Amino acid sequence: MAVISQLSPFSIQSRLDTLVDDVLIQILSLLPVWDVLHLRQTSKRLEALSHVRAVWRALFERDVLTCHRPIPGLSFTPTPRLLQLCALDFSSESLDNTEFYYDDKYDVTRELIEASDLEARTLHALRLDKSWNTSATSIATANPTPNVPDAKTSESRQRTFQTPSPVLDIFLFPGGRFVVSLHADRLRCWDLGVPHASSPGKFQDLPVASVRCAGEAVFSHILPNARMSMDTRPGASSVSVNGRHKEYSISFALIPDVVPSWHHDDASSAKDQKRTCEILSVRLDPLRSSPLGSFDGHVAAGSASGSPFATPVPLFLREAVVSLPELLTTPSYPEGSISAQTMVGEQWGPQRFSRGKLGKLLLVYGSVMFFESFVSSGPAEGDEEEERGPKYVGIEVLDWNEPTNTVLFEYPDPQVGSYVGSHVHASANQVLVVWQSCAALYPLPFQASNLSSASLSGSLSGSTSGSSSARSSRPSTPSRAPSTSKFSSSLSPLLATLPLSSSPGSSRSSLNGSVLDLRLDDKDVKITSDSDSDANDFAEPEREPNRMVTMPNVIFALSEAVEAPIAFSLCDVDVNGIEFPRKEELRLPHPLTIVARSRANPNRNVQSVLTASPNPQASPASANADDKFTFRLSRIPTSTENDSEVSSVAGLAVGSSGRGVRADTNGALFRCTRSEVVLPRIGFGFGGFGFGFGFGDENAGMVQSNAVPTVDFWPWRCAAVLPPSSTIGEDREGQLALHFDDGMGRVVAVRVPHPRASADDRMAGTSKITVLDFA
Amino acid sequence: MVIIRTADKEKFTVDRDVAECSVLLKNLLEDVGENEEEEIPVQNINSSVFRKVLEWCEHHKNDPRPASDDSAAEESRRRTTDISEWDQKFIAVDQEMLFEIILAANYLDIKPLLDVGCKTVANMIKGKTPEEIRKLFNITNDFTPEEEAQIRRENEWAEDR
Repeated sequence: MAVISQLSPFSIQSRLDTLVDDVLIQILSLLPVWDVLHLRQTSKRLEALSHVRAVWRALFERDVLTCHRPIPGLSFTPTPRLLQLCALDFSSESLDNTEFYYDDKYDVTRELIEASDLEARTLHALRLDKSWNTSATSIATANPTPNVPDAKTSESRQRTFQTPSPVLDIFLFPGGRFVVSLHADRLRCWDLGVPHASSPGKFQDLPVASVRCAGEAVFSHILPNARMSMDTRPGASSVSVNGRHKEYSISFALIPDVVPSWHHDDASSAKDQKRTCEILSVRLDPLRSSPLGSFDGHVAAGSASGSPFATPVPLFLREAVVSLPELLTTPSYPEGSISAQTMVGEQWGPQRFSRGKLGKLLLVYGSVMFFESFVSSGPAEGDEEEERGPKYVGIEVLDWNEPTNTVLFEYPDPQVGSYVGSHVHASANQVLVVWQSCAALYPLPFQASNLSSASLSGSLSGSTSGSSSARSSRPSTPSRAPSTSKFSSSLSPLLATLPLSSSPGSSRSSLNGSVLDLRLDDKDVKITSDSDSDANDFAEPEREPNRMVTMPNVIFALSEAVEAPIAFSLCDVDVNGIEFPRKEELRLPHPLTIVARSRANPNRNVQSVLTASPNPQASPASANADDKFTFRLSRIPTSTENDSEVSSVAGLAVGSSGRGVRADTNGALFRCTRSEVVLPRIGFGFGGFGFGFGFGDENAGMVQSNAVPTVDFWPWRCAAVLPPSSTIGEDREGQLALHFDDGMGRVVAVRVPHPRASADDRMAGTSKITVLDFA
Repeated sequence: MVIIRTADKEKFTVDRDVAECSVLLKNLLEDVGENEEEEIPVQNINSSVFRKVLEWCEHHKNDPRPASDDSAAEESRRRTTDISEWDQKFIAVDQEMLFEIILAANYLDIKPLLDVGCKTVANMIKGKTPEEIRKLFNITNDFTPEEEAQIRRENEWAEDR
């Protein structure tokens, strides 16, 4: 407690002052947070003690973690009083002196900042909890007519800002403060500020409520069909590229969308259509990402305080450029399944997948990418000049660290309809793919354990359980230099990455352990890599492409056909991907809730939950993890009040805690929250088509109660109304991109062009992004 | 039996089981061994406070001792400010004695008693305004008027819970 004594000289002794610091810290840790803030105002010593990290760590654990409240993202706000306590000066002069951060005050500063961040997160979680539950009641009272949005009754805080060019897609960072917008010519990162609940109301001199562009990455040429996907692991906060592992960052895969086509001479056309994928990363959490000094000296424009903490996104970093296979080889089946040899010459053999091509990027999970997979629609003999259309055959999965190895999730049958959505169910080691009339579980390829372990090292776990554990989660795969990491690739769509505030000149930033020079000429910005030049010349040996067909473990027929939008949630997981312990069945995969729009009645949600039970027929020593469990998909009956009377479901976004939102085409926004339903455990002999078998332990055949977490929508309580600029209307002109951060209680919505929109629609005009804070 | 001498030279003959509620005394007794004649000095605690502490130890001597590595149980114990009925009556003393007991529990390393004391103080603070807390504990306001205004401004939004 030398720190405290240094900060607060003893005043005249009171009875409370007779207690030593450790005892006072224990007392503070027992108080409700509001009383800690009151005690802080009584004396300098108690004020200093109320900023001790141990106090807020205890309060955060008690009031947020233990209560399973969604964890808000980084909420540190450098108030003037806190900066006084830190004895810090964030003026530009002090920032120039990078050694400033390494002096003796470093530990004091870091502790105070981390404590203040935990304090803000705790307060935010408590306030959001209250407003999330109570405002619904008041809205319901004020708006007794169900499903008729009334903007006047909305208690949420709504802001709309305009982007200079149309938004093709948006991504809300974990933490809810930063949003990345994808445009035809660039990426922009917007700092939405900290929601009201985390910021002192009277403390308006910092732009906590304003939106500003924190950074952007400009493409070398226009990409009207650019498509991007963010790492979808819950609490993803690490990036693994080429054997390197970066904590506290999140990755994006950026790729131009193409519609595959086959010509008679694919070999020559493939060269012209070489398809590359950019892997980008953005730093997430400045408090734990690196020592305070290593901010590269970049401070984004608009930061009133000049604090480096105002933006953890100084740069988009390009991690790698991955060359995707142009033409997929004939796949093989895994050993023990159907032998490929027996099918040579047969029309239904593995060669039916030959000359396959990748389509649209669907999902990114860790370093694994999921694409649509196509083959040529027919042999078209004697008509070789004619271009043949694509035939959908399933989902192609590849790891960007070794893109020549792919796995094909075989499409069950054309009758099941088109693709709706997919989700990596990490605790089951399965991928759930939903088509319009069925859902299928495929084993997760590419060492899922490596991927999911990284998700446990969330930014907040570093603060609550020590950063050492987070930093120790290294991938176990050996370092491998893929043939695809070529920064000098002329096909690379990104030319340079720089923060908006970069002044002309030369700056150096760390990238992949090498140093890249960002040489800023008058207008052109060129990126070169001096340390990678040797690597670029190095000719990697050609790897033999490997492609494997994977059949679904289970196929569930859906009782009602669904379509996009679709949302998945474990309904019991904090934002760092750590599952809350359950009372029983600790070793079972977590139940997964699936919510999608009904095809028959687009005004309605179809809700199901995927549960697992031990497979009694699996031998304990079975090496095949897929046999350990049997899965069951159960439809959750929803109230008829869930049926909107006036509009269709346009967007669904559900956080991992079970809180989420549904937006209708007329802009009405409804909430859902975690709830438990009791499912009967169907014993042996009770299962049927559409059900996996559920085995009730030793009481097979008996029906037992089984409470599982899922979501409960409150559609009769309209929570807010999106402005017309964000809504898409019943004519389906455009699509609604809807994201929700359950920790911050923040919704981000924007109308994006329809996939079939023309290039002009994707490049001309503006977009309006709506930000809605429930806190 | 062991003999313990307080700061004001008063001697207490205590059951070993009772004395071992204190981690400090337990360690000292291990050093002393079986020599029951040797007095153990407790220099920071006067007899009136020590008598009160002994009363608590006597009542709780059969309670299960928390294992040193049982941090989860300890954490859960600390999360609540609930106090048992007997402990509530025991700790219903004037403020001076309350803080003396807390200091003694801290010095003697009697965690459950320290918890009771801290919870009692926490319960006294709950729901009070800064001024009421100052008055209750005779805390001197050592902020300058400017500092006080600033802190109040930065924290008054907390009132809007």
